[in-house]
Amino acid sequence: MAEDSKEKWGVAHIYASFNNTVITVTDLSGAETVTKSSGGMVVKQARNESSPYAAMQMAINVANAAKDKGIVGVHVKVRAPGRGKQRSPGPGAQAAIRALARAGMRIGRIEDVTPVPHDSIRAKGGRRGRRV
Amino acid sequence: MMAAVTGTPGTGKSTVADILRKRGYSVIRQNDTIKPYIIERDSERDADVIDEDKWYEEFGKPDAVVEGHLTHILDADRIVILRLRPDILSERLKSRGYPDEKIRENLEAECLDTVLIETLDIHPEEHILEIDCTFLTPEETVDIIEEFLAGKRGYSFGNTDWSDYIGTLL
Ligand SMILES: Nc1ncnc2c1ncn2[C@@H]1O[C@H](COP(=O)(O)OP(=O)(O)O)[C@@H](O)[C@H]1O
Ligand SMILES: [Mg+2]
Repeated sequence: MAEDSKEKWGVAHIYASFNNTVITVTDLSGAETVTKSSGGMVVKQARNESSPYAAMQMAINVANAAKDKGIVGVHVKVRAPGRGKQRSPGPGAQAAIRALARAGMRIGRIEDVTPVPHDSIRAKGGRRGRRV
Repeated sequence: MMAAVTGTPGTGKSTVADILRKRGYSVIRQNDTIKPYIIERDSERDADVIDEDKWYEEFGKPDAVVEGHLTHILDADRIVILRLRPDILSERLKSRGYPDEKIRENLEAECLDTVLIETLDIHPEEHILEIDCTFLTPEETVDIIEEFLAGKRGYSFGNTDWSDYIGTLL
């Protein structure tokens, strides 16, 4: 995962909600959106159906658009509240990462940055920083 | 019966709980019970971290409505999840004076249905009612909660989709 100075790397953000999966690619600073693909545009997951297939299709589109902009690899930030049960969007996130790789994207660091709801307290189970 | 009113901070739980109390329900506020369970400080988030397993064990099952953004982990018989469109939630959290990063993380959690997904990991579907409060007054929300608790309204969830708002978080 060495970042050759001539090779452009980006960050793929995978957001998996109950009804949808969204993948965006930004530059390393996170400021500029290189390409963005809303799951709603590609395919909306049927309710109660975790859809790795939809996430895969989206990941292939995103990978191709990113490659067109000269990005050779991505670090991945996953935000997916699911915890592995039937309804979990976790499989979608995993499938998306595999699809990015298969579409020719080099995959760097994979981080789980699932948001933790909090006011003045949070539960210790907050999972930020967990490796996927 | 024990009922939990949960949801991302700012969705209106405390307001709803005030009304439930006025209507005669016994109401317990999560944040009044949590102090003994603080085990560390998350300075990055400006939040105390609680040992939720110990809190769960010692909380038991009082005949009450329990209100707070972690109450869906408790052993409640009914779980009501309040939802709010992220653009409106954003305004509410700003007017609370939360730092930008705290607002962003809570908005992300609302966009990704975090509380719903956690609830589904723990509770049977028939015990869950999700309410989109975006166009409801607190009184109307409480009417709906009362119907659900009385068995006059069925369970329902998964009808909100805030994923369009994810783009606004970038
Ligand atoms: N249905 C509603 N319509 C308009 N404003 C509301 C509604 N419910 C709550 N609010 C306002 O939103 C803010 C946050 O509500 P609060 O009950 O404290 O949320 P929570 O306890 O979920 O964090 C308060 O200022 C409250 O007055
Ligand atoms: Mg409150």
